[in-house]
Amino acid sequence: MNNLGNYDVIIIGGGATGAGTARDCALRGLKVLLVERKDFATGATGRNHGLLHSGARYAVTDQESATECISENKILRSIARHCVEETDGLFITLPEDDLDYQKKFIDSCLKAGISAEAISPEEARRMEPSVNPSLIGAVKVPDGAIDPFRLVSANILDARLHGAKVLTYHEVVDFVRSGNRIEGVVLRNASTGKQSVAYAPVTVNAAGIWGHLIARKAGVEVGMLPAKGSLLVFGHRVNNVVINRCRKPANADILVPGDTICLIGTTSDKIPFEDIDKNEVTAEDVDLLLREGAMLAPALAHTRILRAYAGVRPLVADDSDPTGRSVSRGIVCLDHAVRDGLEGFVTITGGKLMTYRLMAEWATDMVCRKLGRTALCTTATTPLPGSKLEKRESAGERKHFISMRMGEKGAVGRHGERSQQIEFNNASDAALVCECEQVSVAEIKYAIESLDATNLVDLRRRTRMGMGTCQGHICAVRTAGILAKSDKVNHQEALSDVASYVNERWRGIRPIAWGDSLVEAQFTRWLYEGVCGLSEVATNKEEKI
Amino acid sequence: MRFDSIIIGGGLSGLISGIALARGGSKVALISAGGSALHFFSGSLELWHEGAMAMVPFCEKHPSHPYAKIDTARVERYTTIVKDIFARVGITLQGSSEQNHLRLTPLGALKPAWLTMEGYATFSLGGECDYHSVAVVGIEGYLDFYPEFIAESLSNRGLECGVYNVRLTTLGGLRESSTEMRAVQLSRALSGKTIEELARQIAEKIEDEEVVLLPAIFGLGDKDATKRIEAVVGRRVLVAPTVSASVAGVRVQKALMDEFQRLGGTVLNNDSATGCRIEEGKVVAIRTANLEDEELVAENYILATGSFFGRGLVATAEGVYEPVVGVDVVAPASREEWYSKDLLDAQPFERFGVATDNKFHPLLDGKPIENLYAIGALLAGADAVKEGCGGGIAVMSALRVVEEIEKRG
Amino acid sequence: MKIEHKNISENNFEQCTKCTICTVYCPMLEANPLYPGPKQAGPDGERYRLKNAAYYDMGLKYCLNCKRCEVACPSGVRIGDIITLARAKSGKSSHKLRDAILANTDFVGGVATTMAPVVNATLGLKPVKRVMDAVLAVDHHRTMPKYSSEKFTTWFRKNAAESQKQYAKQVTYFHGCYANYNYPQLGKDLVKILNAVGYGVNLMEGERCCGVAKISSGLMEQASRDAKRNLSEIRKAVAKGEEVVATSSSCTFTLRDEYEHILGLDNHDVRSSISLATRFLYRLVERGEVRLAFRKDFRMRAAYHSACHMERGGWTIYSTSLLRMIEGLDLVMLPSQCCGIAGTFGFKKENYRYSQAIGKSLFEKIEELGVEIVSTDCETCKWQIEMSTSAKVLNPISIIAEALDVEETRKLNNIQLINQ
Repeated sequence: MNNLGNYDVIIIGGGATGAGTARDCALRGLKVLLVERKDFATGATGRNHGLLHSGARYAVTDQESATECISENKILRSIARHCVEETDGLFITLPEDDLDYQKKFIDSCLKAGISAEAISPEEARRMEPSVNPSLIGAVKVPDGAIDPFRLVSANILDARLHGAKVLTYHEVVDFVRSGNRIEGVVLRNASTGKQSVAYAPVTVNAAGIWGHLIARKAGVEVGMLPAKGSLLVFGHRVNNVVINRCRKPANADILVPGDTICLIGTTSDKIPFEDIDKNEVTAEDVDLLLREGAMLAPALAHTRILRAYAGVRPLVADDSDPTGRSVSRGIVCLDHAVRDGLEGFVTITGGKLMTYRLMAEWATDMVCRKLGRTALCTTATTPLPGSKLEKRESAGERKHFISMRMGEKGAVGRHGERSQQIEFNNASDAALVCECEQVSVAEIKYAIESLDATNLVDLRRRTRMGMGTCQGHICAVRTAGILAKSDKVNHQEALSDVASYVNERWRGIRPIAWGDSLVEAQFTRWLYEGVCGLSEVATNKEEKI
Repeated sequence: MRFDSIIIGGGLSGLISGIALARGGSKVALISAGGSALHFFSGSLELWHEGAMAMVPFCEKHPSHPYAKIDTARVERYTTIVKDIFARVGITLQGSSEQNHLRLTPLGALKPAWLTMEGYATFSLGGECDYHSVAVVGIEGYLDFYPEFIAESLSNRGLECGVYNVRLTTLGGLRESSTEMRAVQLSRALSGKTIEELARQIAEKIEDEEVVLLPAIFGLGDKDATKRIEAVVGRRVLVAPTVSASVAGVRVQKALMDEFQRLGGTVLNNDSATGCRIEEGKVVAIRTANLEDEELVAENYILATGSFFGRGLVATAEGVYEPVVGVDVVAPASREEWYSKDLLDAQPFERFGVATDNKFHPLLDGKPIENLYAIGALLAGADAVKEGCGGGIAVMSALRVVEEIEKRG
Repeated sequence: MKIEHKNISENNFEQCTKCTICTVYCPMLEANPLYPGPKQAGPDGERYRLKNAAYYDMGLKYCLNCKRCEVACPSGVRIGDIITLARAKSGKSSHKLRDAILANTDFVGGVATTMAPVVNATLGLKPVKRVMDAVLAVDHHRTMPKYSSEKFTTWFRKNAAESQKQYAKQVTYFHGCYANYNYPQLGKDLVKILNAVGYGVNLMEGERCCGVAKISSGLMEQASRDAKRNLSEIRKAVAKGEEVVATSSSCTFTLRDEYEHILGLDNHDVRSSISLATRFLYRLVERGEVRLAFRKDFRMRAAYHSACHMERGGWTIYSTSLLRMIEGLDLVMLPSQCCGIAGTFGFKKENYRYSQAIGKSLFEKIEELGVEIVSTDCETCKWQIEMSTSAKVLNPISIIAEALDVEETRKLNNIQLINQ
C-alpha cells in the first residue's frame, strides 16, 4: 500500500466545511491532508439555494442560527467577494398570509442583529419588478447570493497555497487504529482502485450526511436524519433580489438569483439512509416547486426550467434525546475522545453552508487543542484568493471591463484577481468553449492545471461550463478536446467523459423535460448520438456526480 | 391564395415532396418557419441501421413503424429519385439501397449510412478503405473538430494516422472572434489566399500519409477548395462532418430550396401554420402567422413539421400535441414513461408522433383526414437516432405521399 | 384538447436551443467577424446582461437590425429585437450628430426639400462629401439620396386631395419620409392605382417618421414620441373604417412590429389594419373585389429583391404575386439576402466597407442577370442597389402603376364617382 506520509491533521470531506477546515488548519500552520471521495462540493454544499442568508429566515424559530448567520453573512461579504452577490432580500406577505407575522418577524430579526425594514408593496415592486404584485407587505433584509462551488474552490486553493495536500476521488475505506486511537486513514483511489494510507494524530470527519457512515467506520455512532430538498434552476435571472415568504419557513418559499440563473426551493422530505446518493427529483416535487414558486414571482410559471436537482441535509440527531428523533439545532462539533472514548477523531457537522467558516473555526480550535497548538483563527479577516479585487466603481474601471473580451469578463467574474493567472496569450485562448456561460479555452486550461479538475463535471463546478441554456451540447466535446490535450486523461477517457457528462446533464433535465427543455434534449441527442455516434466511441456512459 | 398542394415545413421531407410535386407540374406552396434540422446534416443520409434487407422482417414485426407503411419494393426506385434530385442541384450522393456503407463521425465513430455526399470519408460495411495511412488535420482555434479523436479511432482500426494542426494567419477577423469560428464561417472565409496558406502548411507538415482528412469546412466560399488543396499537397483530400450547423446542411438546404423555387414553387418563408379549417373530414384551408386572417387553400396538405425540434410536436407538462391541426398523437400521458436514463440509448419520446393510416393520412379522433398527409420526423413509431433512419423516413414518406397525391390526380 | 403553454418564456430568448442556425444567415458576421454574431449578441449575451449591464459587448454596434437571424431562427426567438434593445440601453455611439441627422429622416428631409437643388448639388460635390466624411462620418463613397423639390404632401394637397372624396371607398396612406421627400412619384403612383380601382386616398394629419432609423440609432425617446403621434392618427383612420397602407416595407414593419417589440407601445388594436400597399391590393384582387387591367404594350424585365423587412414580415409573396399578374413583365427572383445598407447603417463611415461587402454577391448577381430594373419594396435597398449596380430600382407599386391600363381598369371595376 502506498504511504502518503504523516500529517498533523487529515480532513475527510471536500464540501464547504471540509474545505474551510483545511484552509483554517493550513493558515494556522498545520500540515494538512484533505480527502474527498468524489469532487469538491458534490454533497449538500453544491446542492442548495446558494443563498447568502441574512439569518432572517431563522429569526423567529431559531435565534442562535439567526445570529450566527448575520455574523457570517458580514464576514463572507468581505472575505469571499467574488463568490457573493449583494442582492438584498425581500420577505413578502401575500393576501393568504398573516400580516401580523410580519411584526414578530421584524422584532426577531432586530433582536438577532439583522437589519429588517418594512417597506410598502409599491416600493417592493420597484425594488424587484418580478415580485408577485398582489403582495400586501414586504420586509427588506440583507440576504444575498453565494456561489458554493467558487467558495469551496477558493478555500481549497488557499489551503493548498498554505501547504495543504488535497486528494479528490479518494474514498476513506478504513481507519488505521491503535487501541482506542485513530492514527490514520486507508484510501481508495476511485479511478485506479489502488489503496494508500496516510497518518495523522487527528482526523476530522467533515463528510456531511456521509459523516454518519465515516463515524461508523471509525467505530462510533453519529445519529443523522437525512432530509432531501429538491430545487429547480430557471434559464435566466427572473429576479435580482432574493424573494422569501414572510411566514413560518415552509416548502419552496425562497427564490434566489445566482449568476445567470435563479433557483426556487426547496422541498423537504425525510428519506431513508440507503437513498442518500440517489438525489431523485419526483414529478410531485417539480409540481410543488412550480406552484409555490409562481406565488413568489408569477413569471416563473412561463420561464424555461433548465434542470432539477436535490441535495440531502445532514440533520444531526440530538444526543440528549434517546429516541434519536429530535434534531440538534446549529453546529455540532463532537470530540469523540470525550463522547465515546475514541482518541484522534473529531466530527464537525450540523450547521449550514452559511456557517461553514464558523464550523471550520470550531473544528480547527478543537484540532489545535488536541495537538497543543496555540495559533489563533484568522479566517474571518483574511480574504480568500479571488476576493482581493476592489469593487469596480470608477467609470474608468467600468469602461475597461466593458472593453474586455467575453471570455476575460467571464473569468474575472468567476475568479476575481486570480483571473490574472489565466493566460490570454492569443485569440485562440480567448475563444469561448461554453458560449452560454462565457467560459474560454484559457479558463478551462487554468481549471485543469490549477483547480484539481480531472473531468468535465469537475470543470463545470470550477467554471460554470455547461451550466447554461444548452446544458452542455456546445461545450462538452470542446472541453473534452482540451482535457485530452492535458496529461490528466487520454483521448479514450475524454470521449467517455463526454458521454458521462451528457448523461449527468440529462439526469437533471429529465424531471422537467417538456417544452423547450425537451427540444434542447432532442437536439443534444441528435448531435451527440446521431451525428457523432458518441456511444460507439465511449466505453463508459455512466453519469458522474 | 390557392394552390394544388401546400406543404408545411421546409426541412428535408418538405423540400423533397415539394420538388417532386413541382416536377410533376403542380402548383405548390411551402411554408417554412425558420431553419430546419437539415442544417445539421452530416453529409450522409441513413436508411436503416441494419441495411435495407433487414427492413422487411422488421416491418412485419412493427406494423406501426413508418417503414411498415411503405412497400419496401419501392425503396430502390425512391433511392434513384433522391439521387437524381440531389444530382440536379449539383450534389453527388454515393451509395445504394442494396448495402449500407460506413460514414466517419466527428468523433471518429463509424456509423451505417445509405447515401453520402462525394468527398466525405466513408468505409465499406466491413470497415475497409482503399488507403492505409491518413493525415488528420485540424485548424487552430476551431473548437468543433479535434483531429486527435478521429486519429485515435482510426488507429484502433489499423490505419496509420498522423495528427497535425494548422495555424491560419490569413483568416483576419475570424481568428480574433471569440465565438464565430464555426464551420460555416470558416467555409466562407476559406478561399483565395487562405486556401493557399492552408494547402501550403499541410504540404509542409504532413509526412507520407496517403490521404489528408480535414473537417468539412469547404465549399461555401471557394467551391473547388478541396480540389485546390489536393493539387498542392498531391494527395487525396477527404472531409469529416462537424457538429452544429454544417456546411453540408447549409448547402443542401439552400440548393433544395432554390430548386423548389426554380420549379415554380412558392415559399412562404419565416411563416408558420397557426391553424386549419376542417369540413366534412377534409382540410379546406389553413391560416398562417403572417397572413393573419387570409386563408391558404389547396387540394392536398402535407404536414412536414418535424418532431419536437421542428415544433411539429409540442410537449407540455401534461402531454404531447400536434399544434397545427391537432391530429391524434401517439404518446403516453405520464411523463414517467417518456424517458430512459441514458440519453444516448433508445428514448421513448423519440417515438412520439402523429398517428396515421397506411397512406400517411393523420388521424383525427381516430379517423383519417383524406387530403392531409404527415411525413418525416413528425411520424410516430421510429427512433431515428437509434435506428439510423431519419433521412430515410423523411425521403421515403415524402415520395410515397407524392405518389399517392399524383395518383389521386 | 387542453393546450397549455407552461414554462415558455415571454422573454423568448430562452427558447434559443443554441442550434447556431442564426449565425449562418447573419450578413454582418460574414463581412465582419468582429461582430459577435446574433447568437452571442442576442440570447447568449442577454443572460449575462441581465446579471450585470457591464457584460455588454461593444461589438453589438455592428448589428444591422436586418432581422435575418429572426427569419432563420427555428425557435421564434426575436434575436434582432433583443440586440436592438440592448444597444439602446447600453451602447453609445461616438457619432451623435451624424446619427441624429441620419436618423431624423423627416426633419432633415423637411429642411432639404425646401432647398432641393442646392442640397442635391452639394451632396454630390466632392469637397462636400469629404466634409461630411470628416465631420459627420458619412462615408464619402456614398451617393446621398436625392431630395425632391416638391414634397409628396405638397403635391397631394395641390393636385389630388380634393378629388379623393369622389370615391366611395377610402384608404389612408402612410407615405413615409422617402415618398414624401425623396421620391414623391411613388406616392403619386399609389394614388393612381388606388383611384383606378375605386379607392380614394387620405393622408394622416401630421404624419411623423415611422422611426425605423431612430430605433436603429438608439434614439428611443424621439422614436416613441413620433410613434405615439402616428398611432393616434392611425387609430383615427381605423375608426373611420379605413385601412392604412404604406409603400415602404420598413415603415410597415416598424408600425406593425417594432412599435410593440422595441418601443413597448401597444398597437394590437390597429396592427392588422396596417398593411403594405401590395398586400392591400393583392387581397382586393384575391377576394374578387377589384380587377386590374394592364397595358398590352407594356414590356419589362425585372429582378425582384426581397428586402430584409419584407422577409421578416412575410410579404414577399404579395409583391411578387401582384407583379406576376402583369403579362408584359418578365420577373426573376434574386436570392434572398441583405443588400448591406440596412437603413442608415451603410451611410456611416465606419460601416461602409462592411455594407458593400455584404451586398457584393447580390450586386454581382444583378449584373450577371443583366436586368435593367430591380424591384424592391424598400427605399434604402433602392439607394444601395442603384449606387452599386447599373440597374434602376423601382418599387413594385411604381411598376404596376406604369403597366396599369387606367381606363380599362376603371371600366372593369365599374368606378362611379360621387358628385360633390
